[in-house]
Amino acid sequence: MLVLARRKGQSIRIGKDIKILVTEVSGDTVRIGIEAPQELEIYRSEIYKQLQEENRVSVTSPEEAMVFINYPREKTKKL
Amino acid sequence: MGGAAGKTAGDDDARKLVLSFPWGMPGLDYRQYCLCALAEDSPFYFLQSTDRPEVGLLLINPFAVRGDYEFDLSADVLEQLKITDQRQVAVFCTVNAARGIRSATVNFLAPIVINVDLLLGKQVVLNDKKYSLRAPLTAGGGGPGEGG
Repeated sequence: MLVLARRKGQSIRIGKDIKILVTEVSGDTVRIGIEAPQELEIYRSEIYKQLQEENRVSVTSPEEAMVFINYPREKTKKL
Repeated sequence: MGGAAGKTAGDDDARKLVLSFPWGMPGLDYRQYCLCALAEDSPFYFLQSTDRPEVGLLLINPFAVRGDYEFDLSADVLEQLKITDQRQVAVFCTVNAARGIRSATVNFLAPIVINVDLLLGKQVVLNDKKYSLRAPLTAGGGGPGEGG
């Protein structure tokens, strides 16, 4: 892994399209501004990992999903 | 799109939407899905992979279980999904029923936002501590369900 020291207001370029700017440093928290092409999705790493896992375990079959057709109606609002 | 939507859970073709998810969804390999309600008046929907019709995600209309659910879409998401009018937007949340119907949870933190005019979808991660990836489906009700 490449490790660089940066101060508040300094930035890093990755290729020609991505810019990462240190906007604030306070204690052990760093605020980062990111400029990147729209097709690149940006996530907090821990959230991305949790979401990947949650999506994977949520995958089901049409047959299993159909069980919810009997889900008690009184627990959901009629819209 | 045509034939891709052939084998699907429901049988009413008129109410099926074939949706593109150009950015995919974290953890999933598919980019095209077919969306249909489980039944006409059900808050539950099935988002079925068109590549692998045997798999998909169970979705719920979040407003059916959480009346106060709300969030702002970022300018980036509006632009990506080419949303220009609120009426183009449909929102669903994934349901995790891996531990059974009574332990099912709803992912309110990462809703699926759809432009129903352009049939474009994206899973959006909200920046709001109110919402979690695994909120009990029965949060308001408490106790086990009465069954069918």
